[in-house]
Amino acid sequence: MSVGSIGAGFSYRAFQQGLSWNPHVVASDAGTSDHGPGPLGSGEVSSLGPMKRQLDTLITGARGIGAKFIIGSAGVAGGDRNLAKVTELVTDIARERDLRFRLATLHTDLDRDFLKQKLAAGKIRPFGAFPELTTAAIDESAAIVGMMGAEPFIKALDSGADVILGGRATDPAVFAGPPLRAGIPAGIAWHAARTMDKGVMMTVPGEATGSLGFIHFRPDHFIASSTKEGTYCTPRSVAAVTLYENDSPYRTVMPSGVIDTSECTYEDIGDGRVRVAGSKFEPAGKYTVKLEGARFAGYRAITFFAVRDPMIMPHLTEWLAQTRANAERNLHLQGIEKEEYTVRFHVYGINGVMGDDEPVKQPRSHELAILVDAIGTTQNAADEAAARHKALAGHTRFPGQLSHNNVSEPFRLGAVPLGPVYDWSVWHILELDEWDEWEKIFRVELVDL
Amino acid sequence: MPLLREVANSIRATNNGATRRSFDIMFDDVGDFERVWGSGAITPDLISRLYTVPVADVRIFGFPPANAIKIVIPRKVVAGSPDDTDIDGKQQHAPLLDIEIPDT
Repeated sequence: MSVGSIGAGFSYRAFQQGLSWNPHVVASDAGTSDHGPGPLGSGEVSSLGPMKRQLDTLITGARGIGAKFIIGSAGVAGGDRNLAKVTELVTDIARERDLRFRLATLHTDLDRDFLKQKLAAGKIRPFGAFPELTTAAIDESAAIVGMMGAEPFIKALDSGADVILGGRATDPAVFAGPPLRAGIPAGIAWHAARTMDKGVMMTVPGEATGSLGFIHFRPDHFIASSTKEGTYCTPRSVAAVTLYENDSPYRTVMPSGVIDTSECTYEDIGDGRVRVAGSKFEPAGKYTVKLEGARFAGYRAITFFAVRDPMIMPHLTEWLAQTRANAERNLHLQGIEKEEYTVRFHVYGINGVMGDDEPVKQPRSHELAILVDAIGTTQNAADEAAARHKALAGHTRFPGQLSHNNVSEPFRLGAVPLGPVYDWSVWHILELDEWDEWEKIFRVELVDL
Repeated sequence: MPLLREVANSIRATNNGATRRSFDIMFDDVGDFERVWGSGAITPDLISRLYTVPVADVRIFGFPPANAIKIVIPRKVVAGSPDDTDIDGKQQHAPLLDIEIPDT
């Protein structure tokens, strides 16, 4: 049974319904890189309160029927610091509920010297349009993780783990371990894992129901169903998962091979269940590990204002450039130099969402919202840069100006400090020399609670 | 000529990791899917022009099991970097909505 990402919430009744079907495993892909590099770089985990309540429900429920409980990419980023915060929650839950189980934590922070050796040996390449890796980028990174396949999860299960908290892992890897270990053919195990890795996404009507995805494994197929009353799976809802965030709807690349769904059949077998057959898995020649690293990029401060003067619109580009020049001079007078900050104007109503890709070149808005985004070498530089760019926007004139100030705001809003900013520093693929080298880089730690 | 927005059931715009964008265009039924897929309106050349990316980097898939068409293009700005304007790429689909679908 699969829960969508921990923290997003799920239906308690749907979870209880799923438990009544006696799953061997309750699992959740608890992470993503979609939130950007911040969680990995800072090591922070947001919304720990709701996360603890959900983990409490899930672990208590799963352990109550003797099911394994597995999550991957713990704490969103899956770095060791993120994982430690989630491990602390789970340890607290075990103590508070007087639960006894063997806990495995899977560590995925990678050793920098190891990465430098692999880099020197030509075993690391960019993933997509990303710069080549350098030793400087490795040294600058606050953390670098590798994405696990199913192997460390299987190792933890072999060691008798009841609850597994995984660091960074590919989404399907979180779910593939138990069926692979049970001898389910790799194609079926992996495709089922891929189908359930987004939880509710395999079901209809969809996200808002809080339903959970459920898979029954059979020797030559799997059956997908939805746990919440009134929800169901359709051939389309099940097939569509392989589309999502994937470079091909037919091939999903894992560390140990490729999930091939090109010859699959999706059959409605009634009662909201879908039978999936024809799934294949092509083992890779080499084990590959996706690497993710985040580096500190400065401190951010933002502020916001709006413009309603119709006479400013034809001059907007020049006016913003003049505002920038005036603000830079003003900051210089305060002893804050250009080298200490960068400022971006996100102009909503023109191209705030799409930037240079915006196809609408002639603005149609009668009012504009401008987000001032400042990144400084210190928090103070960022705060002052944001605040002064807004203040000077108020006083920078444009041709034909009648008003005395250009800045409107719903309430007095100074610079809002947002703290450290991180940037992706590593987004690469590492090819291992020996298949079992994963055992050296992904560490399984066991503790009996 | 009808527009894609009038024929599609949904368009899911998102990141494929930090270096790629993905658009999943889904249709109510196989008829609508085949009408658009068969029209040849959605081509690498068109997508290349709409998003100013090299045509060789555009990938387009028809996916009959979900009555869907998938488009993958490179991101010009790495997701979550200071120059990004849409960290998870959820609102980058607008240029697709007005693609004209010729009758076949």
